[in-house]
Amino acid sequence: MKKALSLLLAAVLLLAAAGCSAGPAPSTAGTATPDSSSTSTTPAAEPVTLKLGLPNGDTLTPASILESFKKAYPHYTVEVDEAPWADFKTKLQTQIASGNPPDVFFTDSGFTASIGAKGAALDLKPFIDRDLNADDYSAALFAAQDAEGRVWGIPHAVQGIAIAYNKTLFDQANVPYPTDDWTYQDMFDIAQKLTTKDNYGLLTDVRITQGWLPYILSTGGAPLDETRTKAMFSDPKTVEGVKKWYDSIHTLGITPPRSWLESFGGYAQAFAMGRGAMLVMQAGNATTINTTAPDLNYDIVMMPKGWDGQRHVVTVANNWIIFSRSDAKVQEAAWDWIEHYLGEQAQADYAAVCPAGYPIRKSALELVANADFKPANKAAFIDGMDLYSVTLFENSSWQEWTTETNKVMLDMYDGKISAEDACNQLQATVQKILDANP
Amino acid sequence: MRWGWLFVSPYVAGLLIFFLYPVLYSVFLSFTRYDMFNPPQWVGLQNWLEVLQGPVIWKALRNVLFFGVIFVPAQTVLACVFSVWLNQRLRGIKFFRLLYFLPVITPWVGVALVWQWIYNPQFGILNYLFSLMGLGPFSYTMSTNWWAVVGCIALVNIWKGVGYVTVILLAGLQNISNDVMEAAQIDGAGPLRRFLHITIPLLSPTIFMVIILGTITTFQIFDPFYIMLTTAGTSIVNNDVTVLNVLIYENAFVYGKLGTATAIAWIAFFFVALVTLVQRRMESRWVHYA
Repeated sequence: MKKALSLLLAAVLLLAAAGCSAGPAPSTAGTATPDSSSTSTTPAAEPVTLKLGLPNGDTLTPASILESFKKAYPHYTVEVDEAPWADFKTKLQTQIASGNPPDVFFTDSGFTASIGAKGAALDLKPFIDRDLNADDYSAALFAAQDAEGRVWGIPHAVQGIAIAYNKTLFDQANVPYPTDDWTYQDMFDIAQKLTTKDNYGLLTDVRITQGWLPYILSTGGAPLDETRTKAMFSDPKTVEGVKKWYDSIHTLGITPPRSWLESFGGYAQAFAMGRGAMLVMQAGNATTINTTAPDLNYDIVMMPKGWDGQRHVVTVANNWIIFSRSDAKVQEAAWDWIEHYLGEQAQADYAAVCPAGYPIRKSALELVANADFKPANKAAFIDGMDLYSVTLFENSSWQEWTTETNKVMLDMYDGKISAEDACNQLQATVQKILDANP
Repeated sequence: MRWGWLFVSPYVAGLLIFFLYPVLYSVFLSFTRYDMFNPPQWVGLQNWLEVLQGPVIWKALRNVLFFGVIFVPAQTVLACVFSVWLNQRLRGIKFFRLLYFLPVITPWVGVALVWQWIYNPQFGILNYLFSLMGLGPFSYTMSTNWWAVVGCIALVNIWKGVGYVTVILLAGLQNISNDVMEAAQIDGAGPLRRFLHITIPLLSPTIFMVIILGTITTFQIFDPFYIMLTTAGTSIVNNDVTVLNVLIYENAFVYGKLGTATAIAWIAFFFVALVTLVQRRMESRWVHYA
């Protein structure tokens, strides 16, 4: 009996060990070579089941693109795995841990860098070289390229920032609309004129892209150095930028307190409700604004020139990623999806709605420039990204150092600490994170 | 005997696979660097030392304890009062029992959103009511004082949890024999005396159980902090007002640092065990088992 029990326990432990191991055996992650015989125009007829990860479902990826893909590749069975944006990333972490994420999915640029660094993303450079003509696309095609030249993702869309302004509030206050040659000082002056007891002159986010990073860049500062291994929060230029943001909130009072913003559900919603004269806006915010307030009379202008005399447009690319441990033929199918997505028709379909930023195919960008949805001056986004693009300083620990930075910046936004104290704290905190993730 | 082992084997297998193995594996993970993709790398005590030497874990622990100090006694006392009241034979008492239980079955997300509005410093109803009395405005969950933020969330938790504890205590009350009460009444004990010297001692095992449950809830607290303290769409809970489970979640699923997350989980376990041990020690002093 004892022997039987021992055998049973041993079997159970073996089962447990097998069930809980860290997924399939490590492959040469990220170094697969595409099958040179495969092209998108002559798809192999072998049936393949492709798991496609779509955060926010067809809200961000037009359903027509998926439908045309299914028609073009009838031998592929596409299983869509969707979840709300924030939950999708959490889910993805556990799916990757269990070795069972979608074969192709898209996620934000910071997470792309992290996934690439740990080897879970396939290097797409060989696929690009084989199947794409880089001249057909904006420079953002290589937004997810690392220092070694590996490309961990292909942009789902790309979005820069610009300043949105409420024409009605400007007209009521008799203030001329801003033009592309304006400066941060001009923006502050206008915001002061347009701040009333009900409205604020300038709405920003509390996080990196539409919050603290544009201010840091405006004074010539940066959160990290060029190698992205050294924190730069003690650099006087960076401190100066954070001080400018602090002043806009606490000294000048042109940017609202957080409780006020949250009453409206956030900065974009507050702007949509006509409670802010200007907004640091991402292209993707247009969907919220246009849906919430279709009659809002607004347009955009390029980001102002900073106090350092330069213009900086923070640009984000959410990327399609292929899981490095998917079967080779499934990876080919996943690439077929990306190639289809980047095709003329699919990019035109995307350009018609632009739910999460602008397409990267040049021909589709031309369609966007002439599309009839608001804002009218889409050139401010397109030219801004083309000429003054700055990324989010992505690296393998981006998720951690930006979250910790956001926390400290939030304290500063709430007036709990000064700009100098925030920078002092961040220098130590961020450097520690960077050192732990070489 | 053999049949006995056969019948319990599914349970034993479940226990080993889904409980014992993960528990032991998490001990191992706490000594490793594990990014949820590549195999864990042994780092010895590094995760434990980093966590224990940093300020965040102590802030989280402070917040959890402060939350518990408000939440557990207040919930228990209020539930005692409500259960005695709901134990009366009054007209429409079932309606009131339902009313008190409603917050328990309301999902946390809905509760947190409604209370966020109630607490809103600019437009919230609470500040409006205080303004009628010439008081405020107060910042509540956006206060610069950590204790005010944690206290406000504890109040929400009391509001949501008191109905559940009331039902448990009500069941305990209904088990107290009427004979004992009548005897005390005949001996001249008034309502207060009966409550303090008959009801409370006879109810003490149930009260002890709800205190233990409240303590466990305290150390498991996550939802209200994560929902009520994250700025619209940001998923940021500041370190000053964070709690242990938010730290665990953040390290595991935002930073992908399973080693650190499991080290925090084990530290949390040791504190729960310590507090429970103290409570068990105190048990014999005031709990009366019939």
